[in-house]
Amino acid sequence: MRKILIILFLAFAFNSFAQKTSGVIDYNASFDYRLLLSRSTRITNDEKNRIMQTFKEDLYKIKYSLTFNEKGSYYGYPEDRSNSSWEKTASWIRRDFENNKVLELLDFNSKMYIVEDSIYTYPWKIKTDVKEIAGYICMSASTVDPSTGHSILAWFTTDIPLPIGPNIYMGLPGAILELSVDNDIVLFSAIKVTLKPDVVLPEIPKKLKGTRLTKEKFEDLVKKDAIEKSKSKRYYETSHRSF
Amino acid sequence: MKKALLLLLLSMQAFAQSYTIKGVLTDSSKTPLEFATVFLLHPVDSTMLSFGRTDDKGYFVFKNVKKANVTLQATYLGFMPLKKLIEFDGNQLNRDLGLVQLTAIDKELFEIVIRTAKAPMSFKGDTIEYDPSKFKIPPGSTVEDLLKRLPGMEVDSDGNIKAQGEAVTKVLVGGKRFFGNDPKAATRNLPSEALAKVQVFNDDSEASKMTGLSDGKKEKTLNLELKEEYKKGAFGKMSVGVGDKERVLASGNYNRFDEKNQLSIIGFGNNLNQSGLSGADYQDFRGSQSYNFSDQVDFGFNSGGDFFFFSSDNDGIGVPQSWGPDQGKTENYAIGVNHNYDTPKTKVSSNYFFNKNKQSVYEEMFQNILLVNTQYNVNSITNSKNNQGNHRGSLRFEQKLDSLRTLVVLSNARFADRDALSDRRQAFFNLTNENFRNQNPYSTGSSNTIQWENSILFKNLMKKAGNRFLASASFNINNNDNHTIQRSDIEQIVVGGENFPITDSTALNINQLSLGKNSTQVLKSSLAYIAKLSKSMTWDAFLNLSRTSQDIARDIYSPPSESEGNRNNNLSVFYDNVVNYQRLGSSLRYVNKGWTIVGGAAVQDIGLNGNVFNREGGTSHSNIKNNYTAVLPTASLAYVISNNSRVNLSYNLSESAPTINQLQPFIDNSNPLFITTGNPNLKPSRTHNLNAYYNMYNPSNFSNYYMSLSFNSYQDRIVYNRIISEDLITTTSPENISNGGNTASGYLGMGFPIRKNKITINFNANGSLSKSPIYINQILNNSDSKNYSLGTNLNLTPNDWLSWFIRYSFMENHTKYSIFNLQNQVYRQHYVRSDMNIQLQKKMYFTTIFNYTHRMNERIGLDQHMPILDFNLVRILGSKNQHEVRLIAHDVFNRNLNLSQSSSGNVISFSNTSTLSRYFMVKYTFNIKGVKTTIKPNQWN
Repeated sequence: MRKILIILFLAFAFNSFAQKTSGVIDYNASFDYRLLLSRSTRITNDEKNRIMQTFKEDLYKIKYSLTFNEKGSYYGYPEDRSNSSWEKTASWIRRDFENNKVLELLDFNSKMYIVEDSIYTYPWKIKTDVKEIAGYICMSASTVDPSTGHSILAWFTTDIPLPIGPNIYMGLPGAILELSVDNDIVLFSAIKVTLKPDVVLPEIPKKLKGTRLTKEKFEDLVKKDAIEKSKSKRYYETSHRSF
Repeated sequence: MKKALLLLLLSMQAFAQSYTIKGVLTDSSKTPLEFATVFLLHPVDSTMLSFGRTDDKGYFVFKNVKKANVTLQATYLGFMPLKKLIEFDGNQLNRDLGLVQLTAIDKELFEIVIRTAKAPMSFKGDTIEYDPSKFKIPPGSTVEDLLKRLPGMEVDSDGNIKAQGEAVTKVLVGGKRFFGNDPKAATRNLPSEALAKVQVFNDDSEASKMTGLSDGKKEKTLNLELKEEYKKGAFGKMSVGVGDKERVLASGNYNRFDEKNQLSIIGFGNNLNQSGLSGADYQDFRGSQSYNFSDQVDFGFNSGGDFFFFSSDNDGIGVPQSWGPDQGKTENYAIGVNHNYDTPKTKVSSNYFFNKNKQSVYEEMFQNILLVNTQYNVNSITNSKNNQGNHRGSLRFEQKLDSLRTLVVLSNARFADRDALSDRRQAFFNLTNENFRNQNPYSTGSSNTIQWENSILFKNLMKKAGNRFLASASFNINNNDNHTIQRSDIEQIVVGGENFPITDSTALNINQLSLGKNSTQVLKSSLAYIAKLSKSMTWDAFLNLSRTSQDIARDIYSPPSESEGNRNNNLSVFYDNVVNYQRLGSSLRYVNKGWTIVGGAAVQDIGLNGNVFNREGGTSHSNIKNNYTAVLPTASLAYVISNNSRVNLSYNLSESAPTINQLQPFIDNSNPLFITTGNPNLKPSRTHNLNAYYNMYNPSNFSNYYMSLSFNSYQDRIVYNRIISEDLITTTSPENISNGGNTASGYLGMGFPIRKNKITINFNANGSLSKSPIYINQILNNSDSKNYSLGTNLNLTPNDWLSWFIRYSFMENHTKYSIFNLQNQVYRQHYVRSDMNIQLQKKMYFTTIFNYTHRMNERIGLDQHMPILDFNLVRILGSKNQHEVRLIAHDVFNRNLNLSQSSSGNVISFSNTSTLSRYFMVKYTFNIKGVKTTIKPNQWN
């Protein structure tokens, strides 16, 4: 079934929209730990009130960009991003539509993993809501992260007819311009879409440092971590994929 | 068999005709819609099964469709999405749906809602849904005000509503009619903030609903869905407690908030040694303004190359917080009110806080004082009383001028008055343990203080990302008046052994009035510019300017009444002093691939100009003028080994000016056997600091490792040299020692789970060496001190009803003296803490904390055991868990004391201060929002 969908995407993409299948999407990724804590069952109501009152607009924000053409896509830090003193290696995701391959360098629990597999997707449920994001009319679709159990709500536009999206999320009949994990605890939203012909995807380094895993094995790890974190006596009872 | 069946099935499938669905998508006028997206969805949960696009004739086809019911969904810009169930029919394997028509959404509406308001619009059948939170309306608006702003909606001056050109005849709230038939009743009375959704749809007319016969008439209907919970609310709690020995407490706080405002009131009274707010209470009180870390007005680099320094001088102007119980016995009262107005653009915060403390302290102290050839001991008992009251007010205003510029204005004030009394009885013993002298220093007095601090801070982010400009200016005033009566009587006793005779002991007795008047004004300003040179290089420069001017008057009258004849002209002084401080610095920072390298230097100039007069307005009898210029380098190197481990190496040289207390040329004779004088000729002291650390944290199993080394070397260190005369009068004054000694220390810590989430163990080891010089009677004495400590924590959280945290530490301190080597000593301490929390029933908890300290110092015969045991039994009551009853037993063995031990210069001392010991208490708490308690999840909570 998934294979069929992938083939569909490609047929779809090459259809007649060539000019809309090459460009860059800039995303703002935010992590709202206030929301996360407000739903925690580990802390008292008093502590919740205190956190909500004290830290009014504290979001953790990062900019990402998704570079794409008909042959593939690259998701990672934008090229002009200044270096951060805390990070040595950053996650990125490279998708190769021609060979139906995905290569991901992912930071999970501060360890780097190299995940190489064929392109995967999710059992998306298509909804009937419409809204505009960065100048594009988007439709919504939802799914559940099979490993963490988080609800995912994606807004995609069929005007960019490629199965691309931020982070590990993909597989809709158009580019995902906004994606909300667990009711906005993690929110990716496109701030700028630049379409231009013949975009070249950033080179990926030849040598990669990290543990090599298949997608399935990596997801097992995420699943195990989610179960462990849910048992931990900490504030954060859910595991969130790094973004 | 199975295989055969499978084969059969497969072949059947191959021969069977596949299921195809096709059709042509058009608008209502049958014009084909080209390149529209068409989905096949699972009919139950809308999971996407397949999708396609229509061609230029609106034609779409799905081949090889699974033979089951499916939902067809078609979407096209500007049209209502269409959902259609296609039931599987075995006779129609080539299903042609013919023309599939989409209904256009009013074009204007679509453009405005989606394009202009950028609001999501949902479609549920023929219902269009708006999300009111996406439309900006002033707070306090009614639903009618909101409707006026909704695209496609019109409201006339009489309140009549039209949606998409048609009159709205029905308004429902939560799907139900609201107050009869007047649609305006709801729209004009409900606050818009209460709405979660606004829906517009065509409903069957009332007549057709009643008769059940459709008359074909539809009524434009507006449905208002209310939010489950408004974005505003209140929380708060109130506690009262009564115990034995007249222990009482009452406390309460109440907070009300909405999107923009936070109002909180707090008050408490107790005699349980809690004089300030706990961290949690402070956060409740100050709300979103609890921590404004970016309000620093002094910028420039500090140790380790961190650009901003956080001034740690807590001068008592802020709302007082308690980090632990106070000493002695106290009575405390406080009341405060805080209001924050908080919008992304403008923030205004103001508060008033009043507190009053009454403290009485009983202290027993033993001192062993070493002299070059001999030694003596002093036993003292001090009773002191302290009453103080503080009024504090603060105002903070922050305005975002535009997306790049922010202005912050701060003003804090404190008015304090204080009464103090101290009565000390000291007995002096010689080596043969004979009591050769008694002394009774006594003082009583009052003081009042006015503090006012004002700052303005301007932050400008530049267009070029990473570039910033900062400017600040401050004006601070601190005025203090005090009035103190000082007395001391000395009694010399003739003994057989060494008796350190005083020729005229009455000459050493004092009975005087001390009047002090200090006034300080600080004017300062800082500028900083940070520029991004490239992706990995940043350059910064800063300038700090400040001018501190002080007038300090001290008048001594003996006998203690204010008349010219009684003025002691030797001890009375008027001192005015101006300190000018300038620092100009710059640094370069390189950040790339896990490396952070910072290097920089600052030029610092401190100018002191002081005049000493015999009285205010008198003639100057000396002038003290000093200027110190220094170049202060800083450097640091950090490397991220992996995303969770890091090493850091840093060096810096700092220079600190002598404090005003050290400089002012007063002779403090309030204890005539221990005279302190200031030293106006002090030079700034310099510290070379070298630091290294490594840390690692593994978030998947929560293990961590930390290692650090640090080395400090002091130049021109300010120490209190002592001159001790034959009759044991100690005169001490701060002086610079050019080779001021050094300290080296190391720390090692690690923690890891033995069983994940159930048992965690932490270890730490600490070691330090230090060399401190001091001149005693002009002979240099170096004291070498070696400290070791080992500690371990065991955290047990095996299940949901038990958590237990156990800590043990051992400490050993060796002190060696170069000139009093007979007095070399070893101090040892064992410490155990157990903190256990048990959930007995669903709403009942039991906690116990046990602290045990054992201290030993053979040289002075110290061998002290102190067990402190606390119990708490908590019961939560009520269906909403709003009530809590707590039984408290504090210090069951009645052994609590504040202990301290120290050795510095030629004095070894240890003291016991009486403090809150055994009491039992019943405490009741009412919590508006209800208590949700779990057992303590970690030892820090």
